[in-house]
Amino acid sequence: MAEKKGERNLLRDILSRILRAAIMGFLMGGEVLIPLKFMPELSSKIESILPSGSSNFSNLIVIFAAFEVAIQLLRGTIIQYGLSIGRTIITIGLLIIFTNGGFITVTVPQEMLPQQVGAVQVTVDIRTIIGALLILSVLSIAKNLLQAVDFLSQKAERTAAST
Amino acid sequence: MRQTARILGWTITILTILIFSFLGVTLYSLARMVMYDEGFKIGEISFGLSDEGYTLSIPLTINNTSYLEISDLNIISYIKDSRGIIISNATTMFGSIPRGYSKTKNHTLSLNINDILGKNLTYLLFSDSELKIDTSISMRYANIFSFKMSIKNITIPWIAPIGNFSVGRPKGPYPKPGEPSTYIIIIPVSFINRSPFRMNGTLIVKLYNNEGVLLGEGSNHINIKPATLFIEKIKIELDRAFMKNYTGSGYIQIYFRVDGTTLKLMRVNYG
Repeated sequence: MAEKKGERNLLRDILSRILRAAIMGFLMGGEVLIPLKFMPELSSKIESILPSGSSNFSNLIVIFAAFEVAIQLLRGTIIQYGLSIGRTIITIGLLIIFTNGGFITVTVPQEMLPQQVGAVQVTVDIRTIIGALLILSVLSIAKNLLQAVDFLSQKAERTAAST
Repeated sequence: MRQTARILGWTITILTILIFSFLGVTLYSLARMVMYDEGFKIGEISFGLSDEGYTLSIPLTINNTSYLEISDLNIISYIKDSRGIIISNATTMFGSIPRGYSKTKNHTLSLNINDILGKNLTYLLFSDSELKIDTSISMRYANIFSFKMSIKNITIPWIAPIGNFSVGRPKGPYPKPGEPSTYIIIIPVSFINRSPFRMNGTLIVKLYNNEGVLLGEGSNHINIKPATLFIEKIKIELDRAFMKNYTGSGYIQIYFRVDGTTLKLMRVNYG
């Protein structure tokens, strides 16, 4: 009877994790994939703004959603914190690559320009904002490290208490 | 430790909200100013023409109706020839425009013959071509964002001020009336000034024989209005003793002097 109850709790736990992972995965990137799926030109427009050489925009969203799903599924384990730190590091890298180190350059398509004008290019320098976001990312890594240490110490305390 | 992590978490959340709120407010404010309040307004472009050359004046009004300050607003334009050599440039600095303030300035581009001669672009005097204008508009907004807009290769037509330039066969030598020891050689020169510039300077003609010996030189001050045909006979005086060097063939070198600068225009063979 107790074994059956334990199995039911495990099943409930797994189902709740899957549900939570699905919801959080949707919120943390999945919802962006829906308009991109139905409007592929939107994805190509976003990619045209990003610096050349960056990979497919939808793939990046998938990576973020997958990270969130994995974090939610592995909630309550040390891996959760490792994944959070990994995601933050990837975010820092992508932020720097995508914004070209804080300089976003957009070239106005030739067909939108009058015949006499050769090219129009707009460059936006957002290094200050990128800097602020990077500081927040570093803080986030510190927070995850602290949480991981706390998690391990709690676990060690529980093990010591049970023995 | 748990408390520290929690405080860090809250700090991150609050700061993220603040950063994105600030970002949203600044972008909304800027977009509203540009799109609805006509914050950047280009006035009536005026085209001026003087003896010196062209002037293109663009009045610009910046009306900062946004919530934050616009600073370091500069406009720089370059006029280049088709090969990319800079002929002239213009800079307009608006400086800082606090919120609620408005500033109007003229961005004036000028182009004159001296600019062209100073850059040794003599081909532009003789042949029609096209000029390119590159403009760069840069500014800082909210002391955080920098924007730079580069408009490249705005093409404007160029009409040569010395069109259809021709040097006729030297006529003479004729003895100079009243001075039997001096001979005169006449060189007919013609061109049409189709440009909007007034051609004001001195046309110098040097006559050489086929051995490269300078026989003599003559000059005429010219002041040719736009859309005017210039036909002139330039006289070169030669001393009788020097006449032995005149072989009836050689070359003519044409120079143009303006504001103390003498420019070699072209060489024409004769005989």
